[in-house]
Amino acid sequence: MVKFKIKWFGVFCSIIFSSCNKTEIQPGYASIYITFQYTFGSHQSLQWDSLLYVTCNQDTISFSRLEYILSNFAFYSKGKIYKQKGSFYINPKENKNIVKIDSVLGINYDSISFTIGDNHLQGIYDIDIMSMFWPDMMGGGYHFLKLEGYYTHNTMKMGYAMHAGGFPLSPIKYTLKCPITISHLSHTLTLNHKLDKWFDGTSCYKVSSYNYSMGVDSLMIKILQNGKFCINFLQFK
Amino acid sequence: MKYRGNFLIRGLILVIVTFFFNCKKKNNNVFINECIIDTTSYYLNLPPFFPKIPSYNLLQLKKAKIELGKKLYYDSRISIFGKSCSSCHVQEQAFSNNSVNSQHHINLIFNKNFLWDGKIQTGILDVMEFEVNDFFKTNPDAISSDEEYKKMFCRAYGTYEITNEKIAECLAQFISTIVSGNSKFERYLRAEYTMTDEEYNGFNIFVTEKGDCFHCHTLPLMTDNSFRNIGLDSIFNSTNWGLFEHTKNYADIGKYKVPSLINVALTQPYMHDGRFQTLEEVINFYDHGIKYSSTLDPIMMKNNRLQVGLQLTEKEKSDLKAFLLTLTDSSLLNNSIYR
Repeated sequence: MVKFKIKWFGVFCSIIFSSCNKTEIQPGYASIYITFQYTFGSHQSLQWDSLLYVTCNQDTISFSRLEYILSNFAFYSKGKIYKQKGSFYINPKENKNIVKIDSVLGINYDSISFTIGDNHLQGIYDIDIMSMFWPDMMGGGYHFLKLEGYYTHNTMKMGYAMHAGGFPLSPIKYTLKCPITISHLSHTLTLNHKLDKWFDGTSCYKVSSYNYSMGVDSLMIKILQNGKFCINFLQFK
Repeated sequence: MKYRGNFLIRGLILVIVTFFFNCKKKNNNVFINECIIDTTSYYLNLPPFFPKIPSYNLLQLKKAKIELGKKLYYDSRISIFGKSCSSCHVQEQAFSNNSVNSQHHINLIFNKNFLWDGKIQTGILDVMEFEVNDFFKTNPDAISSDEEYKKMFCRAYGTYEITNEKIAECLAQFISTIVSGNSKFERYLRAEYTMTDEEYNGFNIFVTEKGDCFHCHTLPLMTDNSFRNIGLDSIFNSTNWGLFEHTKNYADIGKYKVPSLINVALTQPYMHDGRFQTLEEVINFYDHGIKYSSTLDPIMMKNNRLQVGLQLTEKEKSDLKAFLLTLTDSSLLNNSIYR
């Protein structure tokens, strides 16, 4: 009798949990959480608002704002490409530092690609991504990156802002070799975001000379070229 | 065996009943504790171009709660100080108040930080709970004998009980419905209005590096919801700590919430302390009045702005003001659904 009651209780519970709106769990698919660790040269973590970081031009700088858009995710397996839709806003200072990619087919991948920035976001986005809007009168699109802080100039703290994005600039594309074996329903991919590379990826960006990139295409292009080297694979588990 | 058969039938009935009740109810009236709850949903009609409502402000809007929230909004009994929400948020003044420098109650459903100094950095429900419990020090007994309230709480919650939690929720529900999206500028975005030359020139100054307003007053909500020290002061004390008051992070000294500029022509005085009475004063401040401090926002130091300012001509300042006036949504000011 007790067994029978338990059986009916089980049926009752399963119906409660399954009869209405539910999140579909597709067999053979996984969710991948992509997260970023921030470093600057030998500094293995980022301390906000601290004048600690010395650039290639010997400028001592701090970081007070870092916002960027990630988009165009794709996973590669034996020459096949599995594209993922969606654009994501990253702002580590506000603890928005994780991208969740759903429905990743449960196979092995050898590399991943994505972009920092995208001028063709579609659909309705949240207030954070809207804050990256790039006015039409200046070409339209979105900020790919906002990197701001201070540097010291004759003992005085001065501001810098490295913004890049909007049309006609192209987002920065990253293709990272990384072995991804999907064996669980969710995995975490950790990437290293090397902030120093925004300043010296291919050429030295002199903060004290060009503290504002806004409205100067050549500086924005320089930032985007440097930025190509700022993301590395760290670990997947 | 017979007993087992009965049990099987009872179980099946239970399953069927559970299945039907577990799904969305079509009948919006539910009878509980002698009250008939009206669970009719309210759907916000949001203007085009607006973003998604942030998850922390997503309330299940119900008509009965919104109606109740509206009544509470105008009732001074909910404050032990004899003030209602509408005392400081006057509809004709775009739900602000020119004499007390209150922030307006427009498009708050898209806010992620509340109050000038960021005292509340969660959702609209949390800020209403703060207003009810800490600011108004609401005593629900003040309205508990009101027969109309009894009926309205009954309809909204299925019980006559009035609590601060429910009052806060209803206020949050009502305020969530105050959405402005019909200004000249928004109609311009929808190709329903043609700007004058002055307005268009002002818009151009606003959204380019010339005036550089758009980095903080991001379209279409006219705020990026951030906190910034825009250079109003160079010396700080307990009267102008700003965000530092709550975070105790020295980097936050002098930072205040970037307000939305929607209906800005009606929300004077300006700045967190109401130091400017007119839009001309505000524009002049941004043009050549910024003061240096170690937490001054980097954007405010751009292009030698501290030394030479924006260098706007009088015509450009006038055009910028003309654009700001296009942000007035007159249809909101007398809309009877908010009364």
